[in-house]
Amino acid sequence: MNDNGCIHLSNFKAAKGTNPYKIVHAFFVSCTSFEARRYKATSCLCFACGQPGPRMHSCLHCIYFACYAGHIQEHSKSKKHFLYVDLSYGNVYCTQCQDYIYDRELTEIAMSHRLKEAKSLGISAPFMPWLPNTNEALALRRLRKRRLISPHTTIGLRGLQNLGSTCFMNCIVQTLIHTPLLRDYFLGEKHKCKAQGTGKCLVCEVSKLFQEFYSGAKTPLTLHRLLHLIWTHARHLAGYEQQDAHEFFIATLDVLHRHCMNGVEDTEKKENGRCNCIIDQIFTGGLQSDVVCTSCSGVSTTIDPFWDISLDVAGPGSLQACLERFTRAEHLGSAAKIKCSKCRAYRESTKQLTLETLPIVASFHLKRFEHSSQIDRKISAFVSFPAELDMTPFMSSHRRAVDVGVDNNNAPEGIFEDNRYSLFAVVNHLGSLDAGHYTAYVRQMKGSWFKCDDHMITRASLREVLDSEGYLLFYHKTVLEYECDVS
Amino acid sequence: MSTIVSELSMNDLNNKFFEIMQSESNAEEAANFIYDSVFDDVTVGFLFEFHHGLKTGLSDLLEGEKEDDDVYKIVNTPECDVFGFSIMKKTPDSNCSCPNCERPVSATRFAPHLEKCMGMGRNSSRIASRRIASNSREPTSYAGLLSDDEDDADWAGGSLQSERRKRRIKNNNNRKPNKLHNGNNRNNNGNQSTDADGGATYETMTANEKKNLLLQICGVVSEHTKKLCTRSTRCPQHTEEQRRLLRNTVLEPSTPESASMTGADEAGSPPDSSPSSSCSSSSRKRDRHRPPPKMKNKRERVSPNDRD
Repeated sequence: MNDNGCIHLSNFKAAKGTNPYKIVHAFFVSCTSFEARRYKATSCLCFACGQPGPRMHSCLHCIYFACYAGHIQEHSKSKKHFLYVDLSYGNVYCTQCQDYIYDRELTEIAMSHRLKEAKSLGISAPFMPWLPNTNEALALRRLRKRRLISPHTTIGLRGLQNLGSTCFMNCIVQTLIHTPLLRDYFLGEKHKCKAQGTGKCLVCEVSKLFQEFYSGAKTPLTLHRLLHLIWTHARHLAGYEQQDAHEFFIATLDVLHRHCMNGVEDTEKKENGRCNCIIDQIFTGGLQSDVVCTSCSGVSTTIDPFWDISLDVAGPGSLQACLERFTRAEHLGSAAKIKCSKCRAYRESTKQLTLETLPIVASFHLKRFEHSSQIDRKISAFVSFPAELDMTPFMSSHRRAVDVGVDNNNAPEGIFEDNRYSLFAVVNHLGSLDAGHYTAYVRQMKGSWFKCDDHMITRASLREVLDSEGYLLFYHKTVLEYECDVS
Repeated sequence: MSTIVSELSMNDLNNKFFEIMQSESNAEEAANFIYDSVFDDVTVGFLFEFHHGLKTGLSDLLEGEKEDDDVYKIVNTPECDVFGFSIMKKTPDSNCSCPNCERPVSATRFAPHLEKCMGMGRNSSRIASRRIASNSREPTSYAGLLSDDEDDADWAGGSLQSERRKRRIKNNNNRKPNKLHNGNNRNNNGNQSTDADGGATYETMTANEKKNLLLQICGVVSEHTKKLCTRSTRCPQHTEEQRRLLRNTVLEPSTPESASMTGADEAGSPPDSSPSSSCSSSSRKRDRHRPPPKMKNKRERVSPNDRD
């Protein structure tokens, strides 16, 4: 790609460097500080007509602001100042080339300023389209063919061989492969591994799996290496004749999380004391537990990380009702007194669980299997679950606002947060407790669902998915925000 | 930047702003102006992105040429899956190489094979006994596991295997509980002790051997048989408490090691504890979960085959 500006800009940079652009950009395009915002607010008026537009530009050679309705052009002509900067986006116009020109060096300055601006305002980072570097551009030129994911092809779908009661694994693998953000991570080859090629890293193995799923091959895959790796690193799972898909899911996340650290320097491992590996970025949320002493009303709050939420299914008929019950305050009774730090005595208390932070992928486990000393049974009660789910009512901030009696329309916190989630995978358990089979429904793209039954992949309708029993439900955040990681 | 002199001070701006906004028509005009500005900005942004793509050649690079996807088209017939394979027909079996013992195994029987191969599951106890007898191996490598071929119906293909198979067929007729040792066939393990099953006790082992062994197996000594339990370190037969007690007794002289034993799974354990248990208040909830103590029994975590 050609983003080396033009000869006139190159001459200008040779004489004056990039500093003039940096200053104009940091103060009048993307304000990187409060001071800059003040300058922009007070001085971005056309020096000729005093108007704030249309389309303000700044001369790159001297300090001169003018509108695009003729005044910046006049200034350029009379002073022979050929380059001026558009103050909305920071693009440079060259009057000798008679066009806006794009220079990689200036683009990179602009991108870093946009991040700093977002950070300075305390808002999430703006979306910035991907720009290939030199090597990536070369590769794109050399390999012209593009494989598109469409609802009409099998690209991204693959059957999985049953290795002898391993449907529990196949379901979880299908779910992980169809997790949108995880797919972007692996197809973007973001996992850099020190243990590469040793066959010991589960993340590398999953990375290979993604390549297989998108290779276009149609024969079922055999996940023997994956099973071996997981059993090796989660030994408590190995050897069960038939396993629980939920247990396998959690163990797999755990091993992936541990192996993500293979390629990471110690210094990068944690940010603000929390792990920022891809698994934690996608799957980890924070569960808040408030214990309120009934005598003094003192609150003791703790926040614990979670990867999934296990919900009782007896009683409520929908996922929302299950969540409602999960986050309801519960009186702990006289048999379970807790030592209140304020009263310095054991008191009766109430406990309430709420979601303090939401993960990008919300995983729900419907507790359909009951094991007790008296009875082992499967609860096949119907629990409806929606295709689109709003998690706001189960958030700590929302519950707090409700308790204080704040009008919902004026909720002080979280009003700008978008907590909508979309269903993208459902794991089902068919049959009885001791002779069962797992299948999964996965969403390949919006509106395009498939049923994965080991090696057999067939089309499914959303209706069919929503009517299924449901054992594990996976929701993906509908709108993603970008994190600002500028130091 | 001291050369920039603003035309108006912030105070002037504020005063002027309130003055102008007093009038409703001004406020409406201002709202329209802001809307127009934002609208123009967004439009120009879109044009710039398009212009940038065209001028730099990025759009063309990204777009490339669409691959011919006729071969990948989803098959839409009720008797086939999306790939066009009949849903009636069973998928053809294939062989895979076991990552543990490197031998070819029928894919559809891989999991039961691996279970035995790694020394877990139903037959693990006997296999692990032999491992003990054959003396301490690398703590985490199971590659050195003794062969278990008379028992293993999973081998398929390969010249080496066909020989084994014949042998197995021959042995099939006289399978008895105590079929363990057939010296002639065990050419690769000639040094094996023949009374391995009962022979292992902690007394005969060095501290290091004991440590390695207890990284791999439960190790609790049975009251009835006086043998050590050779199931996994998470075996459901015995409690964590029993295992801890046993380790404290057996590894007593070397306390620093025993402290690091219980959780040690592999080298390079995670720098960070992970939320690997579900967030329902469960009986398995990790210790690191701080108070208040869990007491929501109604959210007890249960799952099929959860034998803990």
